Amino acid sequence: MQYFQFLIIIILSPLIQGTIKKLKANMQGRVGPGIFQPYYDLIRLLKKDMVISNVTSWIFKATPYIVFTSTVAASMIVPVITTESPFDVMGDVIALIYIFALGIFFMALASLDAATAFGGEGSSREMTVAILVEPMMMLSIFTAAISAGSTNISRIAGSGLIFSPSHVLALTAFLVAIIAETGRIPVDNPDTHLELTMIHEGMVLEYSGRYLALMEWAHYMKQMLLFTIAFDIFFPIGIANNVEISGLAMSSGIYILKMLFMAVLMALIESTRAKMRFFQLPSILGGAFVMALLSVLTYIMMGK
Amino acid sequence: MKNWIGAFSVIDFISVGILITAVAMNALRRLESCVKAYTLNSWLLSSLIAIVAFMMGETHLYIASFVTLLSKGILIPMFLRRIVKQIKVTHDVDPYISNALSLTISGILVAVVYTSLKEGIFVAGFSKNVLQISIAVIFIGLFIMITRKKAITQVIGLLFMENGLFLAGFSLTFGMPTVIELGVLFDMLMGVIILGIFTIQIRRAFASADLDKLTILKG
Amino acid sequence: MMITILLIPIVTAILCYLLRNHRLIGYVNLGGAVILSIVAVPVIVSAIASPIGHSGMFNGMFYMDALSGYIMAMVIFLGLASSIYSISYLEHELNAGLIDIKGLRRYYALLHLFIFTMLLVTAANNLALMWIAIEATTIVSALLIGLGFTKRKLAIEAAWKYIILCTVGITFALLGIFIAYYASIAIVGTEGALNWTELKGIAAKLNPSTMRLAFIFILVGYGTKAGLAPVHNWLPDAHSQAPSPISAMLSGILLNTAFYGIMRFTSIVEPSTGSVFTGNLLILFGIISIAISSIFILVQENYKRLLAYSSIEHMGIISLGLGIGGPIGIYGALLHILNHALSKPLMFFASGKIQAHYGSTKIENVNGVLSSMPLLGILTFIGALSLSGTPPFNIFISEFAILKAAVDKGMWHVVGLFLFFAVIVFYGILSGFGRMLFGRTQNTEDRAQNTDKESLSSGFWFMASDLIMVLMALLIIILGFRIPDFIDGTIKACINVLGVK
Repeated sequence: MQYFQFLIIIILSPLIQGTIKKLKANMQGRVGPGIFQPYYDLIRLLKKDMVISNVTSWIFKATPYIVFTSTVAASMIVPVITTESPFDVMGDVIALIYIFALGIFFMALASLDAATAFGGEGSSREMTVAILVEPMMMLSIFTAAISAGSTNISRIAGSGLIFSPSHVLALTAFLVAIIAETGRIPVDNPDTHLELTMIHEGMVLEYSGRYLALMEWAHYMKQMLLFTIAFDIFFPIGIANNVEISGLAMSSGIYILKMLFMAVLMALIESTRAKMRFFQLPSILGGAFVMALLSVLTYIMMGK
Repeated sequence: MKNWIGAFSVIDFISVGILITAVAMNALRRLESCVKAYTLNSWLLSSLIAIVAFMMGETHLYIASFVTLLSKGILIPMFLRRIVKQIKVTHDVDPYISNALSLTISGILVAVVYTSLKEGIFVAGFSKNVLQISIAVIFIGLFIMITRKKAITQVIGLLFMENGLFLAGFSLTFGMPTVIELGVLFDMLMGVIILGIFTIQIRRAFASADLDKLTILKG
Repeated sequence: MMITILLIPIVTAILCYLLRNHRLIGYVNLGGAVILSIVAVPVIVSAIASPIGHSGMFNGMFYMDALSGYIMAMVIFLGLASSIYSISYLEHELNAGLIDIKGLRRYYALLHLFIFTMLLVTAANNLALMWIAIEATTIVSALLIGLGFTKRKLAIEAAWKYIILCTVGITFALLGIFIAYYASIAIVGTEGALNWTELKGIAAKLNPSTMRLAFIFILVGYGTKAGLAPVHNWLPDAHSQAPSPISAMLSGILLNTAFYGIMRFTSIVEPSTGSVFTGNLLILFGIISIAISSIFILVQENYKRLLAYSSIEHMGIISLGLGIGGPIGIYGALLHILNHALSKPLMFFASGKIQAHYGSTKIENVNGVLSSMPLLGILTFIGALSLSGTPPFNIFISEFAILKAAVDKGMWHVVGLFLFFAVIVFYGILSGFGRMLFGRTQNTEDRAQNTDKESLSSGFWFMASDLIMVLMALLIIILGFRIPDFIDGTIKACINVLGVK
């Protein structure tokens, strides 16, 4: 069973996306698509033919696979319902962040590759955001890593819940990082293709058919992974530390609740906040960065 | 109750809250929000003193907490709000440095204070952390005073400095004798009132709430 | 009796604010100042002879010894002088329509409150109470500066800079006091841990590194208030924009009260940290102050600002004297405080009259003071000579004492720097005031206006203000030749209080 916990992420990630969309629609007083809509979208896209610009190079074609496989690789080292992971050896948080960075890097390259204006715009914006977000993620994870005495994500998850100011600060910063990484309001608007504002959508604008499906799927997976990591690191309650069926059933139930909570939170934020202007972003991301920094400093100072 | 306070490290949370409200000042541009941040800061300060009073069983600290709440938490914010209304300025636009830079520098300031006080000369215990935070708040207050243009934001920066100072004094010595504390608070209250009067007069005489108009006297 | 001294200015202030008739206010103001002087004399004399404490009320928070008596005497003397001078000064402003009766009431009330706060500084036993009093002087005097009879904008700007800078500075001083309190409760417990009387006894036992930190904060904090460079920026603005009698008080005595705080603190810190640490810091601040002010004095075009920079220079010299230390250095510093408290107010009083006469504070607009107003010209000349450190005037003696202390200790670099900048200051002050004093009054039109103004400002109070200036000038000359025994004795008692051997 523990060999296959990464499959949960691969399979269920579109469902999370669908749930968020549905919740958001309900909060805004719309009916909205069903929660399985992302699956239908993926299937539809997989069936479709692709249109590829003839000025693109191999990077354009390789990118969807690199992004998808890197995300799958990332999901293998994250403990989902049990900390008893077979890929424990490489389950390092820093490695995880770099695996994500690899995906972003290729995505940015590919969107430049097609040489359209929107692609370039999207990739430059994504990189700007990434510059601010990545150190912030690192720092907030460091806080948890120092207190657990390890950067191994299973070890951190296994060290139990720690309730201290530095962890709360780190969690806050990490939540902002999740919002930025998953391209949600107020950083990016996932529902629009408005040229002036789009970041993530700008990068995948040139893709269609199967490639687009892979990219989108990877995006859903990344979102769910980040949620999972947030819980693993900052709220590791209910996650099983063995592979017995009873424990796994229990932790699966709790895991569903956790994901539901995140979905509600995201929907709530998206419904109540307005998208920020791109040039205001450094302000909020800078704030979160300082929070992450303070969390590490506070931890070092207080020793808890 | 005491166990509860210990288990949930309430003191740590409140002191970090004091730090965060001070850091947040760097990102706030609306004057109303600045006043709110200050109010929150004062309330946290007052509740921290109250909790320590409870933990230590010291009666005079309750008085200090109450007086802090009354002066810094209620009277001064009320007064600041009135000034903000009177000067008819809502935002501190166009500061000397951008929000992000200001936030980053204040973060670095905190880091410098922490590291330089790490091998401090002061006793350990709860007060050690609080002392570092309080010194950081003092420097952030000073930094706000340097980087903001509006007279009223400078006053708020000064008030943050004073809150940090109170926290420092409190963490070092569990507060001064009550008479002295009252005197210090009275002085600060008077100082703020007079600064407020001058803020309004600057607005009237210079037709602006910005301090960079105050450059007539030189050399 | 000590409490009576503190109460008199408060009562006077309240009366001044309540009364409506401007003549009556003037008399009440004068009466208050005179009664204060009469009541204070026996108290100060007995304080110099032996320390007196007031232990009954307020936990022994009030206390006086020779040093407090010395400074308090200056506060009271200058308070009296300013009160007398203010009457004719404000009469003139009132007739010129620059203030109304409301401003007058405020002015006198604040003036006496200002005197009260400074008295409180000198009478405080508790270092935190002293801090409260020093902060109170800032608040009250900021309002006095902000009254701004002539130029509203400038006055507000000066007052704003003053109150912001000094409040920030003094916040650091409070941090220093907290740290000192922390060091002292470790030894004596919380009861009276900040009382000077307690601290004096245990000074050697305090934790040196803690006290070192405390001293830095105190020096920066009170140094801001005392006008030491590089945190002096408020001083020229405030001194030049305040009404002249207030400038005299600010420069002559407010700076000294702040310095009094530094002195007290130094004597507590020194026994544990050793005098090298405190001395070097004080010398550093002193030299920087002298250097910066000398350059500004040289290029100054406004005579009130010139006087303000000269205050920075003299504060630097006092700091130097204190830093060099030893009986002679401290003697020089204490004597310099007195000398400066005589010469600078005289100059500010005189400059107030010059300003009233010529209607300008620019050096270039003032010409031939000696020929148009001989008495005032001579007084100004005496003051300028004294301030520039010319023998045989009083300031030369105290500067010489400080130099001698430096030579005795072999601090040749200090001697060299001091002499170099003293020469610059000498030239700067004398050339500035020389241009004003000598030469010819410009044209007939001016003169006609002047005679008009003179008729306005003649009368009994004008004479009285001249008289007080003549008295100050006489003191300057007397102190230049010989230091009277009672002053000599007082200063020696002060040195004893500071525990210098």
